Amino acid sequence: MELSSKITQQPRIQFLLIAVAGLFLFRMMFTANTLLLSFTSDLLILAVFYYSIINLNQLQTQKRFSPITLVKSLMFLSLTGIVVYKFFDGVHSLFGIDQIEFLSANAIFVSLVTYVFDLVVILILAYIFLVFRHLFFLKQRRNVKTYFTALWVFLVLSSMSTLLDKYQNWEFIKMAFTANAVILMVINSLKISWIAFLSKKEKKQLLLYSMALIVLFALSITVINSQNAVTKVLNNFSLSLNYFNLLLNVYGIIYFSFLFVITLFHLPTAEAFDRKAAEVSSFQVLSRLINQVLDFKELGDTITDLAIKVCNADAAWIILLDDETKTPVAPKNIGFVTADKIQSVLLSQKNKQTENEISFLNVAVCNDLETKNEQFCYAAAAPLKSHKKINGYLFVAKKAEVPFDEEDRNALETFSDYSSIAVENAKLLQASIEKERLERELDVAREMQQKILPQYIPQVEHLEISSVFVPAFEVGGDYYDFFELPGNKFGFVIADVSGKGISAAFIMAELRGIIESLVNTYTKPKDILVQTNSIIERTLGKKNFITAVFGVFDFTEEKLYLSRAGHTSMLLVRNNGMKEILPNGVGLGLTHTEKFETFLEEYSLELKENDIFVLYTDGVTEAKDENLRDFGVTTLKKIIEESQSESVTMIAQNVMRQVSLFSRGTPQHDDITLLLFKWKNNLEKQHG
Amino acid sequence: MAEFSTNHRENGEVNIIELNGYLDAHTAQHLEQAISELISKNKYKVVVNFEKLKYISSAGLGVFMAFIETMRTNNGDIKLAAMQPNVYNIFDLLGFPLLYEIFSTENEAVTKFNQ
Repeated sequence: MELSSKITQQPRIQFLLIAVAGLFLFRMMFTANTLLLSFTSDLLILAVFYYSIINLNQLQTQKRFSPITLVKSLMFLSLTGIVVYKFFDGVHSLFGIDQIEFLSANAIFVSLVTYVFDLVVILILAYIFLVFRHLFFLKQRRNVKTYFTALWVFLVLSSMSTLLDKYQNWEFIKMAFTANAVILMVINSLKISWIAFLSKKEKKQLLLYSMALIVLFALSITVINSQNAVTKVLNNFSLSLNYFNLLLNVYGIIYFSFLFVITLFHLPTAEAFDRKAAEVSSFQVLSRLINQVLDFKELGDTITDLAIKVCNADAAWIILLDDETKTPVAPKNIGFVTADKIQSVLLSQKNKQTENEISFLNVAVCNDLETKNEQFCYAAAAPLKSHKKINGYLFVAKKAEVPFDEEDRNALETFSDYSSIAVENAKLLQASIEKERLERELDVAREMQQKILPQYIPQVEHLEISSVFVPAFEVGGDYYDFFELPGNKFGFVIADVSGKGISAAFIMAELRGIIESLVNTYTKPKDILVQTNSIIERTLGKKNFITAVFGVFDFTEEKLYLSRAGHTSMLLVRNNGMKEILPNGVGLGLTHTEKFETFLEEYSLELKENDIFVLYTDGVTEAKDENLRDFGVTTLKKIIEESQSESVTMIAQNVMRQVSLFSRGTPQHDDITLLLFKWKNNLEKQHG
Repeated sequence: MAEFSTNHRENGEVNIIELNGYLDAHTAQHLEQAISELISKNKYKVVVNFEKLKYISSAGLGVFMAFIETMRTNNGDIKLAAMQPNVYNIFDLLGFPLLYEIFSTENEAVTKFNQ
């Protein structure tokens, strides 16, 4: 932009300089005393005038103007004009030389000075004209260019026609053009559209400036028309220019007279306009905030700040309904105690019908609400709604003894709607940050779980072992492990920690540590579980518990010892029959009294060839289909029975296939663990 | 997905909380609040009516464990009543019947308090 304007600026200054030089040479060579010569001279003046406007306009395009600065610059310009006339008048009488006596010694000097004066006058007129043009086009919505062009054409025409008046005595042409020009002046003066946008203060200033300008323009007309040296010089230079000067001053008087009256009429509504403007700018700030705010407190501060502005209040605060205590958020100009008192009265007025509306309160009538220093007369509460749900309230209160009016109410309503969107956005953002944090936490939990669980299935002489573990997204807290025990024994554990996520993973880690150290000292399942229950008390919260089965295969005795602490049953398939084994036992962490030990049964079983033992967590039996029905232990038993002749790995696969078929419509909500053992004592026989 | 609600009634000194729907990790908080409210009013004799409860998860069970001690040290109790078979199975599997009094009807539980 800047570059291109620089490029185009250059030749235009040249045009101006060419026109100025041309005019000077013409004036030196000819005395404009015929119609043709005067007309040619005037055309050159017009060129100078036109290029002055173009160049002045170019100088200004970098700036944005406000009407007040434009009006001020007009004042400055017309004042300068008057000063320049007076100054030249003084200079001229000092030299005491009449323009006509060209043959005197300092004729060249005098004509130079006169020419410079003429140029200054052109420049000032061009500038005044330009400012009028800016004023005219300010805040115009419709295309009004024609009106201004017409004015400017008629101004030139009526100015030029002074020549016809002088040389041909055709005054009527000049009068006709002038009449047109004046009518256009009036029309254009009525097309002022920027007054409404001024603040009350600016309007008051404008009234003063208009009066001053009317006086200035009138003064400048009298200066031009008085029969002094300046008038003579100017008339000698160009009659048309002088007439143009006169018309421009008339335009100024007309324009500012209208402006004065219009402004006067606008003054009573100025305050309302000021308020609307404040509202609009507040909403602009807020709508920007809607997308920006990361910090909830910052958002609250902005909302309360702006709320005070838009509804002419003295204090504002917010409460959120999520917050049980209903503590005022971002209170402005009000103490917590007062805010709390006012809000409790306002909220107590709310019922189902009125909860969606703004409610008002005359605080002054509630005697108990008056506190020192903070005497509020009126208060209002606007709901912060999103998706038809009320998330909180925005409160405003004011000290003046004037109630909130309709305007305030509308402003508050619109403003609270904006605010609730912003609040909702901030909450959503917080929720998504929280969600991301949880997801990362779950990643950690899953990783922990993977490391806690056995990495491979041990090779044991008399046992065929298979295990399946499918973690749920939320980490369900399933745990299993195998232990080689002294005395030709083999232990296993399957457990389910209540709760989910990282807390469940931590308890699992603790549980594994406890059991791993206990199996060095104890080999009886009951002992291990009883010890675990008393040790884990410190780790488990009041609400958490663990269900577990600890079993020990004794290869020497060919027996299985087992204790169950609240865990799901163990299934036994023997001789084509299915048996659900469920010894007594309370979950770990449910009680820390001796009841745990007394109730915990020591179960044992003589092992028989091809006995199949299936242990599982409730993730298997509580897998859900789309109607939220459980997979159930009956289905589990049936599948195992049907595939009992196959290897434990195959049985496990069959179960898992059926579980995933059953629950394919719904997400897996809990870990799934399956543990299978097949007793194979007579290995030689089978292979032989 | 899971709908859950509680309803509070009083029968003399005994406070009855009716459970409705699915009690899981997400809805357990709701029940916790209901019981906390009773404790804040120094009401320690509670019967929980399970008649309309369709499902309970481990987090749901945890709620009773969290409060039982407070109730008992204040001469009160949480007695459980009118469970559907599937819900009872879960309590039973865990060994709750050993630690909590579970009745087949609400009236029996209330009568037990009044003895």
